[in-house]
Amino acid sequence: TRQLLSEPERQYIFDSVQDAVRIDGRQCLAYRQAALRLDLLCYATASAQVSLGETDVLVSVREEDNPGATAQQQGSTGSSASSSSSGPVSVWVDCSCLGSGPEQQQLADEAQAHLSSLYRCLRTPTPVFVDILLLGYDGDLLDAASIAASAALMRALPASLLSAQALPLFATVHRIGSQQIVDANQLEESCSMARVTVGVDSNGRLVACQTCGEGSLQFESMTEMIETGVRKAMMLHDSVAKLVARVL
Amino acid sequence: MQSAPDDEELDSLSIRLVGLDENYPVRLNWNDLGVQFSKQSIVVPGDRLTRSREFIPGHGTLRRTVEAGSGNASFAAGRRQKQNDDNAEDNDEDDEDEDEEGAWELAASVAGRQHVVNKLLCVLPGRSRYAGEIGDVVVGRVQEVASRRWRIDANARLQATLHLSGVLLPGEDLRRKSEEDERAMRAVLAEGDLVSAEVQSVQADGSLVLHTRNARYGRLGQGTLVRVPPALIKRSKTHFHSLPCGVTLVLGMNGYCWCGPTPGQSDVREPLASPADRSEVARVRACVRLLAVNHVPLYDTSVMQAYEVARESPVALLSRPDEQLRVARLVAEQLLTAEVGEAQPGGGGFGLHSGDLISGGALSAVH
Repeated sequence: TRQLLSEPERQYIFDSVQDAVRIDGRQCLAYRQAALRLDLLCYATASAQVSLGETDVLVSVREEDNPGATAQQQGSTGSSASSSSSGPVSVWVDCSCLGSGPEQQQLADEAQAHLSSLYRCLRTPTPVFVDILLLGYDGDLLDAASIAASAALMRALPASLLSAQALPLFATVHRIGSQQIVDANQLEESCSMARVTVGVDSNGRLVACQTCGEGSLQFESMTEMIETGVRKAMMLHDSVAKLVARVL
Repeated sequence: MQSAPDDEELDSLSIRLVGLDENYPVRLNWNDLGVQFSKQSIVVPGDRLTRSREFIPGHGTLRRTVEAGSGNASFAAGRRQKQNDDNAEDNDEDDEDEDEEGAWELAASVAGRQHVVNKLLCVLPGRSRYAGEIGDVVVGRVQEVASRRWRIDANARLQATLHLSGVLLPGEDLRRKSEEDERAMRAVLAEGDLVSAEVQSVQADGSLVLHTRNARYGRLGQGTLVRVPPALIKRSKTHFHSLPCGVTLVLGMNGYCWCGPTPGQSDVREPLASPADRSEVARVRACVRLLAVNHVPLYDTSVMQAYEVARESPVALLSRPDEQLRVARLVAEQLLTAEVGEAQPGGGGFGLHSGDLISGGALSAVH
């Protein structure tokens, strides 16, 4: 969702990024501190909550024991049938905590589309449902949601499967003026003209890539941003793997 | 986390696993600082406020009948007072005859702090939208340019309006606004512009009418907006602060706070702030946020104290919960000591009243 901003505000945010002093004092390639909580929901196979600044995402991963019943259920609901037919991992994003306007709905729909395509290549023995609840939004939703989802999936899926298939993560890089920034907050997202979101699995393989925004990117700057994204995604992978390993 | 991280660490991501760390700090606990909440002052919905009939029910209260003997209250006959009801007293008079014989009591309809002015009893909610009072300084964002007025988001329940007659046009202060002025309204304020204004009146439906008929109000320039709960802003003599660190801070009573670099005296047209100025603005912004997160009342002294405490640490660190808690705790301690010190000479003045801190603490206690 783009925030309504005045021209001087936009200018200020833009100049701040150019000076490498972002409005919350971070450097261009720094993430906000994220907090990860694991296993909050008792009825899910695994769950995780990630709060990245004000962005707050709760993910529950549920394995279906009875695949036959699932197919029936999916047939009746209809709306999520398309996502489940594409792979055994189906993603559902709910944003009712943020509001019920069309903007929020669009935000959730986009996130759902991106995350379903990220997990499309993942094969699991039983259907897996990844339900994502957005509790707060202050930018960089895809990264936060994918961190939470991959932490929860790591807890839920059997080790044999995880060693065979690497879990992917999203990292989003925005371009503002001549600078690249990661983990943009909502204000910075409103000022960004172009962004690149890369999906990188834990082996460092690029599995998804998307550019978005009103502006256009030159080829050199796009490759630069993809490289930055892959580097940041590997850092995210490292941190998540370390944290989840501490619990196991 | 105890050692100050260097730039290298700030540049990288640090995810923290919550749950393993038992004492992961989240928010300031006012009880730890020795603030005692009296059971009477903090109420949750349904709490009985009084049985005495001498009080007038105000905002955030409801009246319910009490069955004789059992002492149980029933909501059925009680009439709910709407929070934004402007004329609670009038309703009271209307109901007087219905409730003549039944015993009734006043109960809280919102969670918050009990507040008594003479006979009027109300509950000030800890978290709500801005209710508005005449004369308050607010910061708002223009949402829409309508005919002869701007519609402004001022964090109130309804959009506030700023009439064309309520603004000061450059150069000419006292004249009728013509049709040309109407056509050029976007040159004065366009959609998305931030504006500081004063509440001129509160309409019967609770919507606010603003005016900027004073040189210090008007469009805000470069800077950023921080949103905090309106209950945390302490009403004070001035809400425009030029801090010594080169930052202008506007603490709007509606919870919208604006911080930006103080424009230089030499050349007003100079649009660019230096990186040093930007980092000071970012620091003040982070201070306002960390105080708000920890429910410390916001006014010039508290922000400046937070700034002094946070001066040594890197700005990016101030968005981390543990550092936020450390700074907020020190500020709260200083404010409490100042409060105790001030109570000796007889109180009053512009110092902190105990109610302000307790209202801050009440938020964390209630929510």
